[in-house]
Amino acid sequence: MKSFVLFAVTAAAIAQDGAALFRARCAVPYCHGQAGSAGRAPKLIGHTYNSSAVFSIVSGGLPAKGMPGFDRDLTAEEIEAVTRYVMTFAGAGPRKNEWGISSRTQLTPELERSRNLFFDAARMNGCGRCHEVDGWGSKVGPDLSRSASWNLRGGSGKGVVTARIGAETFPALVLEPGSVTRLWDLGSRLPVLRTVAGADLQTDAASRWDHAAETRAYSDAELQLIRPFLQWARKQQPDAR
Amino acid sequence: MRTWSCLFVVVANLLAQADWGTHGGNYAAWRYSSLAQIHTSNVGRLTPAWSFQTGDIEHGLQATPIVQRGVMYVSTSQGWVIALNAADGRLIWEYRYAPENTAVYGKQNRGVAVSQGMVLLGTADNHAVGIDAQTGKEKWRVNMEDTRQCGCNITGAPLAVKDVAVFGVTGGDSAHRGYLTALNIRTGRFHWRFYTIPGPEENGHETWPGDSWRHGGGSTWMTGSYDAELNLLYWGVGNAAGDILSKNRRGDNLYTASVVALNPDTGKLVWHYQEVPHDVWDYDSVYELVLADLPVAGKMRKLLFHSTKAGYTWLLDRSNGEFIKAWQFVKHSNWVAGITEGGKLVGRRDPEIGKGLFVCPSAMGGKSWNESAWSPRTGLLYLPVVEACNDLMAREQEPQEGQIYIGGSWIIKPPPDGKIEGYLAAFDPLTGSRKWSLPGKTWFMASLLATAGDLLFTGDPEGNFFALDARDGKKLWSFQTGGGHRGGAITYAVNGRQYVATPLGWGSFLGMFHLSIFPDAPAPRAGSALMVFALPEVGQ
Ligand code: HEC
Repeated sequence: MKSFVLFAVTAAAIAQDGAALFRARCAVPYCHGQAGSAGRAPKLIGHTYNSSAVFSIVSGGLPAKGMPGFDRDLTAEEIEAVTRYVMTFAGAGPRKNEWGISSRTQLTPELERSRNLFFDAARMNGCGRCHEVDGWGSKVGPDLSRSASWNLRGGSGKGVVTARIGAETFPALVLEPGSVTRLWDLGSRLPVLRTVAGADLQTDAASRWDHAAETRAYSDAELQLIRPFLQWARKQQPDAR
Repeated sequence: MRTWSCLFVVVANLLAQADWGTHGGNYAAWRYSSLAQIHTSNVGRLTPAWSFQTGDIEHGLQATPIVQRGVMYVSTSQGWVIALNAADGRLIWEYRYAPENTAVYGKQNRGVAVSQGMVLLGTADNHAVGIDAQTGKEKWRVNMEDTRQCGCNITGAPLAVKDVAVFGVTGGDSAHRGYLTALNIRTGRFHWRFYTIPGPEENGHETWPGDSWRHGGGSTWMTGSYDAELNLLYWGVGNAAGDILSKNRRGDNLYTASVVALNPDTGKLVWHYQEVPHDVWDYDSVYELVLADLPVAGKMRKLLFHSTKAGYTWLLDRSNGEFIKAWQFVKHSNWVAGITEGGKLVGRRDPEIGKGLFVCPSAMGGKSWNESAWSPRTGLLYLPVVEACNDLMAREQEPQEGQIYIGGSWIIKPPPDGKIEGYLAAFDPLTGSRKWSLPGKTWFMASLLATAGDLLFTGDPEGNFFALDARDGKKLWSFQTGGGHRGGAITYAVNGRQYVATPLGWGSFLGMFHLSIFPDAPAPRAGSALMVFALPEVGQ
């Protein structure tokens, strides 16, 4: 993929200019973004740092987190210049990473395993194909962090209808009925959000769609292992506290 | 120059008439048109016919437009799709994708596919979208995988093959397991997903120790090719993750840095060829796969040329994946000592933890993703080459689902003899001998376009859009468009008049580094526009 590139620019020309050094070395999109505002590494804007900590991180890096050290590449004066520039970011702008990625909740190892099983990326998102919990997944089915149901295998059977458009018949969840209707087509392994003319759509309240068929990839034991994550997510709700 | 005449060429030529129907101009990714109204003797009179501003300038215009039956479809970085009258640039409709999540890997979009009355779009938040080509109304959208979870999204143009649209995915630098996904063009329904990394019990899984397969990268961020006669879909697969860190994934790491050939009806693997076993240099093999039939040792062969970041062009037999040859197209290469006649890498130089290793070409690639052109008339393959090296250093890192997983760093360095440079070069694809080259002021980051008028078109970061004589590289015409070029120029005809269209407006991930690499050159101008040229004396 596109590279996490740190550029060797003609160092002499910009030796003392922390802003220019930052632009060239730190502001690349995989890292801290323009003026420390974005990137996949943490946003620097809005934090209050200790300048000697910044100096040592820029020098030695944070190897475990993928932050490279620059001591082999920049002189001490240059690192100082970058540090001075980074210190100017304090207190400005919002803290959240623009991509929302570093905002992911850190869980205990047990809960982490439970969450991984719920989303189960290696099997096309598992429950996350249809349920959003704690900021991951698709909002097709009900919000499981607000639900009281523990019927993880079978769901509730509520809300799914049989839709007919011309010769097509498929299970669906209708979102906004009207002259233009949006509905989830559940006849696809990855649910499809379709937009159809209300006049073309017929629905039948009865449906043979079966939640259990969608959770077949999970053994009973695995469904048990998912429970702690849902329990945790339910406790996070304001009204649950 | 030789003229290759064989059935494949003839058929492809007929299809290439008038329209620019698919991302690569045809399914064989030639970026060549048989239109010849504009040719070497009249190209000097080319004048602007119309232009259009998309208004979405954040990452420039990187797309290759599609033209079918007089309508041009172009997509912008945020996923706006615009349909224009291809003869005069009048707006027919405009669709603006309403994202559900913010983007990872930046907002980039390299184009749409158009088929069966639908326009197919991949989005920066990893959705696939089907739009009615008549009305511009969204018919369906599918969340391919939560972008927040996977650290992946879609930047490449999908490829429509029969009833399905095939979408690639980014995420090769994240802890992610890459794939291709095929959806029904009309309904968006799921057909198949091919994981580029085999799961437990699949062939090739043994090339990934432990759980490393779950986070092994293998993205598919560019567009594949298709051979209808063989019914094979070809796609390039990206680097393994962590890119530089070898320790967690000892083994060949199939099918990263490989070409895969799939049955488009089922998504099943028919053959694969791994160009870079156990990639540790971020040498994605995701770029365009050029399909052509040429005689090798007196025998007509169905070939696939694949020019990649590693600075080599691989020649494979596309019916079975047999290795024929690999030749080096960059001048500076030291990641291996060479590639044997059997395709084996010899003299590998693998980066180590905590130690810098000077390697050429750099992780930016001996060529970037901007696409090559192949002219069956001149028999030459045209490549935008980049000469650059880097210091690679591996670092310990544990993968975390969807998070960046590089396991090291790159520091871009000039080659031993001086400076980072880019140039266009024309090669005999069978021997790798270079026929001509044209140096850039900086480098060339736009895709190339060859025509039967023996012209080669492209643009540069400085804003010039120009035409060369495809036979000898002589510059015949140039026009200052006012914006840097990073998209794909096309040509097409409406009512007997040939047009040449170029996207313009600087952007892209690599585009952001331009100033660091060329500190003395003026900054390429941003923007997002189409500029279309034609001969003044024809039509209207
Ligand atoms: C293909 C989409 C899909 C998948 C995959 C899916 N669900 Fe569901 N789920 C739904 C829909 C739609 C509903 C509401 C209709 C119903 O219950 O039948 C639902 C309902 C539920 C309910 C009942 C909620 C309530 O408040 O009544 C629970 C609990 C549930 N799902 C858990 C899970 C778990 C756990 C998984 C993974 C093992 C999972 N679901 C996978 C679509 C899906």
